[in-house]
Order: sequence, then structure tokens, then C-alpha cells
Amino acid sequence: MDQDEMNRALWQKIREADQQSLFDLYDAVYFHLVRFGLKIIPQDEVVKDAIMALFFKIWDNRKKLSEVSNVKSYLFTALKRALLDKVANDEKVSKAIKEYSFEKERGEELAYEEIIIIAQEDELLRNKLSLAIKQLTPKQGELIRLKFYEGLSYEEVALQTSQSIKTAYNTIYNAITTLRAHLK
Amino acid sequence: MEYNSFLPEDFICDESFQNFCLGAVQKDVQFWQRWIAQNPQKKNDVEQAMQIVRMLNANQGSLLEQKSILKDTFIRRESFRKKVFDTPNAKAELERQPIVSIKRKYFLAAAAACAALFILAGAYWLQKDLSEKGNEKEVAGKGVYQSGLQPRNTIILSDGSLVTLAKNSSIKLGENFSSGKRELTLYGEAYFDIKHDSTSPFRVHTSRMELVVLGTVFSVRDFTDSSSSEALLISGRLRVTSKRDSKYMVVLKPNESVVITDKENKEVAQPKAMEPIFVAATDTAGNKRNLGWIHNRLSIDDEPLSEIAQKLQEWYGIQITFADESVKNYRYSGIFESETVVQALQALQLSYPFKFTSTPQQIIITK
Repeated sequence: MDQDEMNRALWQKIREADQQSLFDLYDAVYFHLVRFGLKIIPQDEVVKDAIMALFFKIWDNRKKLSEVSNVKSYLFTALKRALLDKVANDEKVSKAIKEYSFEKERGEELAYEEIIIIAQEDELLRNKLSLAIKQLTPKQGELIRLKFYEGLSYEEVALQTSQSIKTAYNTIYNAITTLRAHLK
Repeated sequence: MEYNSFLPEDFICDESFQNFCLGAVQKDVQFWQRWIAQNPQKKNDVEQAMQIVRMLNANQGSLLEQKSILKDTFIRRESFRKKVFDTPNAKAELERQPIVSIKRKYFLAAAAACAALFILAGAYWLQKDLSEKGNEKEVAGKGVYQSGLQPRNTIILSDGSLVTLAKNSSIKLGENFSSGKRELTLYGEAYFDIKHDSTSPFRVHTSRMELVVLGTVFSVRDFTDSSSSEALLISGRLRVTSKRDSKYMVVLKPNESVVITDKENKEVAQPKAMEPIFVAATDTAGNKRNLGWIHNRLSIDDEPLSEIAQKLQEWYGIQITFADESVKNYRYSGIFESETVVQALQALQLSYPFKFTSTPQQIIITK
């Protein structure tokens, strides 16, 4: 059974009021949802709260849930909607959004580098990170994103970028050394 | 793998370390929690590494932590609902509670309802947020039990007494504890339920106090980095003596507490009477908060024993296993507020009997 089928099965069991399936679905989609959410609002607490609220909502609605063919994209849509509602209703957040991506079309995804910089609460650290990131080569930046943000294994990173695992590891290691030197 | 020679870069690039930071793989989380506890000299490097991993993943957070918050909140929400809707009319109300449709405008109402419930649980969350909960207990040496970052960790001593450690606390048993000399040293905060034995007093040492007890329930807080210690008695009798000067001695009665500060003179204040301390988790007023970490509400509604055991395990921080499969399906309901884990199990036994035995860090349920 692939992950999509598994999610569909869990969804069905949630409709039958099985709470464990809700937690299992949470396990399966948590990181996907966080990453997706951060691209809309790069504030981890806001995103995590929204995900939690989403799961409460699913549970409360379990009797009225309809069948869903792609659970993950259904959840993505629901999360996006919740986050955009939050933007519209939360002055603080909407101010942050204005500050950081005023020109951006609402709904357009942020780039990885923007997300990790904005996600830093501490301004000093944010500035340092912004400078440190600029020291990386595009290749290094891409590999760091795949490894740390997308959460791929070294094997998957190597496969996706057509190089050996060892080269991928070394590239990332060197990038980390550069970042640390500039973050001190 | 020789982690001891690792630089922060090595930790950052280590896949298992990354899994630990994300709370994504239980095995890695347990491994690193233990490794960090055992290698305090690498604490600084590890913290630097964790900071960078979090930075690069944009604070995605820990799956384990987030899920345990989600689960805890579900439990709290259920007990909150019971409390609020505990009249026949309200029950009907609950049956047809406003179900949020997929339409957007209703979602905000649902979100607001959630927010209110979150605040009720706030005091507990604050503690939770700072902790990285692991199911594994750290045993640092013979007779030493530590809670580490777990919010609660319950240990059953060989004489049948129960100790529940708060976060960042530990106890060290005296050398002859198992042969009948009931003596231990506490670092931090703990809740004690001592088995009565008139022939053998139970002694607790802290940095500032010595406590002598006969069968009793009490709680002690004595963090070396704070400037005072406190003992709070719930039932029985408790004699408290200052370590600095043994003529400062007081015998506490139930619901009295004593504070010893580092300040000169008046080391032992007169015990001041306290209000009854069995309070609901939502009550955060002043001195009642002292036991908040242990007296939260755990509610069970027609659930099989296997699930209840799971909840009790997470709640009290002690491993609960089954030696008999058939017992797992017994179903119970109930609300636990101030019980110890043993009292909770005894209460369940009354409605549908089963047996249980215990070792210091484990309870085994049989038919």
C-alpha cells in the first residue's frame, strides 16, 4: 500500500471515529503540512497551531466528513485556507506578511532562503543568517534545502541531484562549515 | 561511531542527529537523549548543532512533541467538555454541538473555541513546551533515577513507596535501601507517597533539609540553583529539620508547608496553614500551583485497558506492560485527579478485577 492509499484508509477509519487513526494520519502528514504552511506564513508557531486546529476540526467533524481521494492535498487546501483566513484576521500576522512579501501575489510560495530567514525571531541572528546564506554556492543552497527543509536522506539527496552520496555529504558538510563561520 | 570527537558540524550532518532534532524517529530521539545526558562535556557543541538544524529546517518542530501536545489537549478537552456539559440538557446540547462545515466562515468560530481550550491548559503547556518528552528513563547509576526533561517520572521503590519526580529532578537511594534502611537523597522536586512502616522511618535528604516520615504523602522542592526549599505535607506526619542547624525543626500537619531559605536567621519559618491542595488543573492561583504538575486531570471514558495503560504510562511516566492479552480489552470509565498511578489502577480493579505487579520502572498487568 503506498502512502496515499494508507492515508485514504486512515481517513476512512477517522470517519468511523477511530482516534488512533487521527494520530497516525498526523504522523504521516505533519512535516508535509509544516513545510507547506511555512511557505505561506513563515512563522512556525502560527503554522503549528493551525495544523493542530485542523486536526481538532477533522475530529469534531468526523461524522460529516466526506470521502476524500487525495487526503494530503485535501489537508493542504484546508490548511492554506485556514492560514489565509488567519492572515486576514490577525493584524500582527498580516503586518508581518506585508513587511516581508508585500509585492508577492498572495498565495505565491516563498523561497526556502526567505522562509528560514523570516522564521528567525531574533533580528541579529536574522541578519547574520541572511549574510551567511549569501556565501553559499547555488548548489550548496539547493542541497541544504533538500537535506534540512525537505528532510530527505543523503541517499535521496544524491539520487535527486545525480551525484554520489559521498559528494552530497561533503557538499553539505562544507556548506555547514561556511554557515557556522558566518554565524559566529 | 565515535561521537565524542564530533564537532558541531559533524552532529549537524549526522542523519540520526537530524531525526532527533525533528522528533521524527523514536529510536534516534531516545538514543540522543541518553547520549546527551551521559556526555555533559559535549552539551555546548550539541546545543550549537541543534540550533543550526532548527534554523535550517525553519523551526519545523518535533513531531513527537507536537503529537504529545495534540494528544494531551484531546484529553483535556474531553474532560473540559464533561465539566461544562455535565447536565442532562447540556448533554443533548453536546450531541448536536455546532459541527463546523467545510465553509470557511465557520472555521473561525471553531478556531476560537479551540483557542479558549488552549488557554485553560496553558499552565501545563508552558512546562510541556520546554520539554522533549521521551519514553525511556535515564538510569545514570545504581539507585539513581532521573526525570530529565520528562514532565513526570514515577518510580516504585522496593518497599512499595511511590516517588513521582518533576522535570529535571533525581533521587539517589541510600546504599542499604533494599535491605530496609529507608533513606534517599532528592535533587529537585518530587511527590512522595510513602508506605507506612512504624518500625522503619523513611528519611529524605535535600541540600537544605532532612525529612523524617512515617507513612505519609508529601511533596518536596529543592533545586540547588534556587535560594529556597519547600516541603508540603498532604497527609500523615512529617518532621523537617534544617541541614544547616538541626535545632531548627518543625513537625508538619496535613496541608501545611515549610520553606527554608538561604537567608540568615529564621531558616525555618513557622509552618503556615495552607488551603486544601487537591485542586483542578485549571486553578492556577498562588500556592495551589505547587502541585499543579502532578495534579492534573486525567479522564477516561469507556476505553479499553490497553488504551488506559497507554495514557497512564504517558501521564505518570512509568512503563506499563501486559502479561495477558485478554485483560487489554476490559473497558473502564473514570476521572483521576489526585491519585498516584497505583491508586488509579486499584480504582480500576474495583470495577473489573485484574492483577498487577511492579518493578521500579515498570508495572506489569496480568489477569
